[in-house]
Amino acid sequence: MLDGEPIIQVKGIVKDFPGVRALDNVSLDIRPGEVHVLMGENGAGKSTLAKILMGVITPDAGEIIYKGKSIQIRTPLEAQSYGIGGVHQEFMLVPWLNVAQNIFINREPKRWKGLPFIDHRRMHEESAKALAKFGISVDTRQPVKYLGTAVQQMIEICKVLTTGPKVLILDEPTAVLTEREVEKLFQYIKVLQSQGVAIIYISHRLAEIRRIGDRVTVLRDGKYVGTVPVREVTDDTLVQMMVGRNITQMYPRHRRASGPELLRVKGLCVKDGPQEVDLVVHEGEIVGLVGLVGAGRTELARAIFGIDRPVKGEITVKGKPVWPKSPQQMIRYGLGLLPEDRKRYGLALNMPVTKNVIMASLRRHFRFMIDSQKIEKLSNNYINELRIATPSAYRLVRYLSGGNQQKVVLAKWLDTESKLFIFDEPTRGIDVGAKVEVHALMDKLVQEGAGILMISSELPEVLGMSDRIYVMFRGRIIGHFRYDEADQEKIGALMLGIGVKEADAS
Amino acid sequence: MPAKSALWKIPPVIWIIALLCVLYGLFAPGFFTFRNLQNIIVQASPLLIVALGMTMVILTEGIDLSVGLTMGVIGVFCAFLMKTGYPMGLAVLLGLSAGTFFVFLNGLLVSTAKLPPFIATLGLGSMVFGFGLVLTGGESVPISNSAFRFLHDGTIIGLPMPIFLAVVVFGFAWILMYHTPFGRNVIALGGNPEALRVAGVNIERAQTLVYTLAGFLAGITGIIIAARTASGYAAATYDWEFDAIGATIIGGTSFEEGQGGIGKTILGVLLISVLRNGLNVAGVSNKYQFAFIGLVVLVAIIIDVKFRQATEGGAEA
Ligand SMILES: Nc1ncnc2c1ncn2[C@@H]1O[C@H](COP(=O)(O)OP(=O)(O)OP(=O)(O)O)[C@@H](O)[C@H]1O
Ligand SMILES: [Mg+2]
Repeated sequence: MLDGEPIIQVKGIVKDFPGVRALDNVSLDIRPGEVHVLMGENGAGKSTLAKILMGVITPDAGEIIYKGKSIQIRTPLEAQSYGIGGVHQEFMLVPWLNVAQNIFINREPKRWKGLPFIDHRRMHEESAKALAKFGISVDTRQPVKYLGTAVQQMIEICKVLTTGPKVLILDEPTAVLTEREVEKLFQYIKVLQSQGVAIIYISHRLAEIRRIGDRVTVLRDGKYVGTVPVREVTDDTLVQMMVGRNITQMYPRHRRASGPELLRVKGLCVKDGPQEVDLVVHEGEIVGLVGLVGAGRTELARAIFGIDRPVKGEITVKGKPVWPKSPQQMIRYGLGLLPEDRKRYGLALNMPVTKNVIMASLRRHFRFMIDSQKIEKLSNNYINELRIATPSAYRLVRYLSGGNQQKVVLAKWLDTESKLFIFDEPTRGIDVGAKVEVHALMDKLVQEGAGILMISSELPEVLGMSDRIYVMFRGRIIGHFRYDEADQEKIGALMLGIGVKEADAS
Repeated sequence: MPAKSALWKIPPVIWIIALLCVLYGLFAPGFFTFRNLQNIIVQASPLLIVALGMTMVILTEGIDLSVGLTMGVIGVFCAFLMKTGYPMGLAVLLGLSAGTFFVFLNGLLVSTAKLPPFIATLGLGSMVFGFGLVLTGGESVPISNSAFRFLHDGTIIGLPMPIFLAVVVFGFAWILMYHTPFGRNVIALGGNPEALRVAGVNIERAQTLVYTLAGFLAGITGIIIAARTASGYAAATYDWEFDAIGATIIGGTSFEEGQGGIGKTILGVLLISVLRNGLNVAGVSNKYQFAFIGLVVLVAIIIDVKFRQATEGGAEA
């Protein structure tokens, strides 16, 4: 089946943005029933290619061939008419429209043929049915605003699946999902594959690509590097193709003896969230916090940082009791939070990189006058250190690729000289090369005496980077390991609540 | 979240309206008469019609600062046409079309030329106003046509015309907002226009349409007001956008993310109308009314924002 005629071919695609050639003579072909993976560093042009196929961006040059015929995809509707659809990397839901309205946006079933009246009943029924395929039962009358990011992402996926696509494009769909949903998604991808749907899958996660990918195409700086069958390529070769060099150490960690206590949380309870949480972070330590989505990790971080008010418990920072009232207050105590939902809480999209980098640390650098040259220099340091792909430090953040936007948020918090960082999924959506840089930076921070509480859904990362690991399940901490006692199986099982007595688990 | 008592769920606007009614009942004799209460509804009706359009515009994260002036000029235009001998039906039709067209231009400026809505609408508003002044030399143009007066003074199935029109328009707006793709566009234009665009909607056209509809509704209101005063006067309604915006915001529609809806705008309209009527009945002079209404609108908005934070804060996570 995989050797069938390609359903879609792109030939010599070029796309320029001001100051950047996002795609430079890229060609590839997609066959029915295959999962074709697109890989490449942040800013390599993956999303740009995806958007061209989805009719959101028009290429400057090149040809798209659909079932042997040369076609043009000028609008999203044209893409839909060829059965091409996908999930964008960006948030494409409308917060105050309900679940069903989002799933059927611009495709609402009508009550009477030819008249514009929406058949709400059918829309809700079909939405619920589509979500149920993934084991999700939410009230489809709720605005999506109130739902968690993982459920929102599944809604985006249902949005395209209900169009019955022939070519399905998934741009980092798992970035905000946990293992449970990822599992469901992968099972479903297999089903679609067997029905002959061609799937273009963009991801930075090698493990995922091994599980579902058939062939992988690598882009670098907008250029085509090569296409290889997943089975015939090693991780090292792939990484080499992507970054153009070898990466020897994914988790460059120099463990040191930990210093005095930085943060202590005792008996912390948050309404509808974490219950009776105890944890400590010392100087010089990276502490991993793992759990499924909904286990309460992000809620815990938000409560410690003063975004949501805890209902009871104690928090001490460097031995001093603090009751978190606002993020501003906690920043003064030397805390920094890299939030999970960076688009919403971490970035000013319409401001340049420079302003975003300096946003949280302006007062530290400048008393009276702001020295824009100094800001530029500072920003350029981060741009180099984190390999942020941008033509200049003054580019508006909204024009950076997804992964590069994340690096900007990271730079912002690194620049605050906080002593205690809470990193919520610090490397989500970041390419392998940059991931190593971020890990190295975290290591450097703790070497210099900071403490880090790291929330991550990627177990290898947690195991590779942490000194100690807490496991959270349904709002409670149910496990605590030193890194040398922990392994993937033990932690994985605990995360699912396996081996937890019912009394503890409820 | 523990179940809150039903009382707590009642929007604060209703409490404020109730409080005002009690105060007026005590201090403004004549407030609680059938005539006066009916009066309030009659006065609230045209405001509701403009406010519905304003709510839609604000939901798109836009604003229309030209409605007051457009309304006045539409009245002038109708009066002028009737004076020069046009039959009433045609005059109304032309007046409405002219108003709608003006605001359609507003929409184009905002959606296609990408001007900030308050600049575009302010600019166009004063242009239109200027046109009205030129047409009439700044004078009020009397209307003697009794069929036209019927649009305000008449009754239909027992309802005064303004109430009847408001009910019809509200039903129409409700269907449009909640049963057709138009409403989805309105909410999405404010909430995440990119999501609309990738779904294949022409967002420029959608945005223009919202402004145009709001202009049409302002036109209807302008005609009702002209019928009420039996004249067309360009400056007659120059401050109406304040009431329309106030009613929208009090109703709980916010300038962000397309949050809100037209249902609660009725409450905002009621609050402003009750407030104004009571002050009139109590004989408070016009000067003080202005300041007082501004104050109450601000307080109502603050209470409403706080209330929403308190009841929704937890769900943000
Ligand atoms: N609308 C735009 N305007 C200007 N530049 C853009 C725009 N969209 C993308 N770019 C630039 O084009 C390049 C490719 O971006 P693209 O989003 O395709 O990268 P990507 O491979 O998807 O990266 P990531 O892994 O970070 O998502 C980047 O340098 C980006 O800054
Ligand atoms: Mg991308």
